[in-house]
Amino acid sequence: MIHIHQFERYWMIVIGIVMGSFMAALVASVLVYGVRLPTPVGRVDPTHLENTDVATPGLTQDSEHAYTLRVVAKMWQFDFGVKGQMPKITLQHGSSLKIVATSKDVTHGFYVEQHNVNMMLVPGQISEMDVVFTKPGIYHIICHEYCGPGHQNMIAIIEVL
Amino acid sequence: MQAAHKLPAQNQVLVFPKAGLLTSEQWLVGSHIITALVALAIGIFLGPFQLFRRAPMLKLQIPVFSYYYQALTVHGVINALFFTTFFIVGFSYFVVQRSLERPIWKPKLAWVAYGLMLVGLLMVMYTLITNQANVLYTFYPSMIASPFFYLGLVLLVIGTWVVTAILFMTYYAWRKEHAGEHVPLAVFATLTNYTMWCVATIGVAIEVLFMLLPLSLGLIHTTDPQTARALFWFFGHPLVYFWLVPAYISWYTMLPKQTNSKIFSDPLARVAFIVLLIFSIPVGVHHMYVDPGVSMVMKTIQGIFTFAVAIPSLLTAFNIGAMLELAGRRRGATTMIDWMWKQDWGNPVVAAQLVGMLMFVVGGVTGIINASLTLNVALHNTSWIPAHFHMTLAGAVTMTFIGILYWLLPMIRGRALYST
Repeated sequence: MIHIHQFERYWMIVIGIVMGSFMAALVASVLVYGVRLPTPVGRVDPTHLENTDVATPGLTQDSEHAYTLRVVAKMWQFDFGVKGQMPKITLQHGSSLKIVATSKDVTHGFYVEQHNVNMMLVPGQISEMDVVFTKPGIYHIICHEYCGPGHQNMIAIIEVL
Repeated sequence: MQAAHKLPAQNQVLVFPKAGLLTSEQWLVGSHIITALVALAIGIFLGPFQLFRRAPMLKLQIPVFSYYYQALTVHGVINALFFTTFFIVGFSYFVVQRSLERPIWKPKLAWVAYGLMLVGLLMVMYTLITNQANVLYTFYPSMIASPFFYLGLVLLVIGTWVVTAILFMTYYAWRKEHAGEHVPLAVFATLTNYTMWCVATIGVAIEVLFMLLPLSLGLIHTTDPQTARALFWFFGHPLVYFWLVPAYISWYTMLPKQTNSKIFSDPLARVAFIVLLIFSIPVGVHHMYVDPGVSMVMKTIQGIFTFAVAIPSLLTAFNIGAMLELAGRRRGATTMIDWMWKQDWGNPVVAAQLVGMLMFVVGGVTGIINASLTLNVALHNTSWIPAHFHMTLAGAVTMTFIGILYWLLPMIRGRALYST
C-alpha cells in the first residue's frame, strides 16, 4: 500500500464528512422541501403534434384552484393559445399549476422566475412540472436555451393576483 | 530598446538539456503554442464586447461580428475547443519529450496531426465568419450548421487521436528500455489525460458522424435531440478535465521547482489522476438534470459520481497546499497561515498559477453547488453557469497556461521574453 501522511488522512476524513453532509442535504431538499426535477413522462412526435395531447395548447381549469397549462414552444414563442408577442395568463394566488410542455422545432428552455420550475423542452419529449403560486406578482417565463436569432425575445408572463 | 537579450545565467528554470530535442521542440511545440495563442486572441477579443453589448447603458456593437450569437459561438468554439486543444497538444509533446528524455515517436506524423487540427480550425473559422454556424459551442440539434463546421470538428478530434497514438508509442518505446522503472508523474498524468480524451470523444464522434453531419448534408431529416444531448455531454464533461489535467501537471511537477519546494506526495497525485480518469466519464448527465428524457435514478447516480469527481481535486488542494506551505516556509513564513501570502509573487510564472488556483477555489465550490441536483433547479442555464466555467477554464486553466508560457516560450525560443 502507498504511504499516506497522517495529516492527509485527516484531510480525507474531512472530505468524506463534507461530501456526506452535502448528499444528506440533497436528500433532505427532496424529502422535506419537495424540490422536484423533470422526469420522463412521455414522448411525442414533434413533426406531428396535432395528433397528441399537447395539440391544443392553453390553460384549462381542473378544479377551483388547480390549473393545467399546455405549452408548445417554437421559434421564438411560448404558444399557449394566447395571441401576442408576449402571451400572458392570469391566476389567483394559491393556485396550483401543472405545466405540460414540449418543443416543436429546436431545444428550448422553460424557466419561471422565483419558482422551482426549470426545464429543458426537447423536441420529442414532454416536460412536466407542478408549481404553486403563493405570492401575487408578475413572473416571467423565460426561454433559457439558445434557440436562434429571436431567442432573447422568447418570454411569456404569469400574472398572479 | 532591445526586443531580445541574453538569458540571465542564474535562472534555474531555463536550462537546456539535450540539444537534439531542441529543433523539434522549437518548431513543433512552438507552432502549437502560437496557433493556440492566435485562437485565444480571437476568442477573448470578443468576450468584453459581448458584455458591453448586453450592458443596458452601453449597448455597444460587437466589431466584425454584428450578430451577438455569432460572436458568442466564435468566443466559445475558438477558446474552449481550439485554444485549449492546441495548447495542450503542444505542451504534452514538450512534457513527454523532456520527461522521457527522448524525441516523440514519428515527429512527421505529429506534423500531420497538426495539419489536420489546423485545417479543422480554418474550416470552423470560415463557417463562423460567413454566418453559417451560429450554433454555440454546444451545437445541439435540431439547430444545424454548415457541414464544414462539423467536418472541422471531426478533423480536430482525429488530429488529437493521432496525437494520442504518438504519445503512447513514445511511452512504449521508453518502457522497453526502462522496464520496472516508475514512469515520471508528468507523463503518467499526460497518458491518463489522453486516455480520458479518447473515451470521451467517442460520444461526440457518434453524435457528429451519425446525427449532425448527415442532417447537415441532408442525408437524414430527423434525429433525436435528447440522445444527441446525452452523447454531447458524455464528451462535454470529460472535456473540462482534459483542460484541467495539464494545469495539474504544471502544479504537481513544475511549480515545486519554480517555488523552490517539493511535491508532498507523488503516489497520491497518481491516485488523484486515476480517480479523475474513472469518475470523469459517467458524469455527463449532471448537465441534463432538468432534461425530461433522463430518469431520476440516472440523475441521482451521476450526481453522486459528480461529487466523487470532486475528491481528486480536493486531494490536489491538499497536496499542492502542502507544497506551497513548504515554499512559504522557505521564504520565511513562521505562523500558521502567513505562508499563504509569503509566496514568490514577483515571478510571473508562479503568480499566474497562484491566481489560477485562487480562481479555481471559486470554480470548485460553484461546481459542487451545480452538482447538487436540487440546487441546480435554481441555477441551470442562468448566468451562474458561464460564471462557473469562466472561473475554471478562464481562471485555473488559462491562467496556468499563461504562467507556463512565461517559461516555455523563452525556453523553446532560446531567448528571454521582451521586457523593458
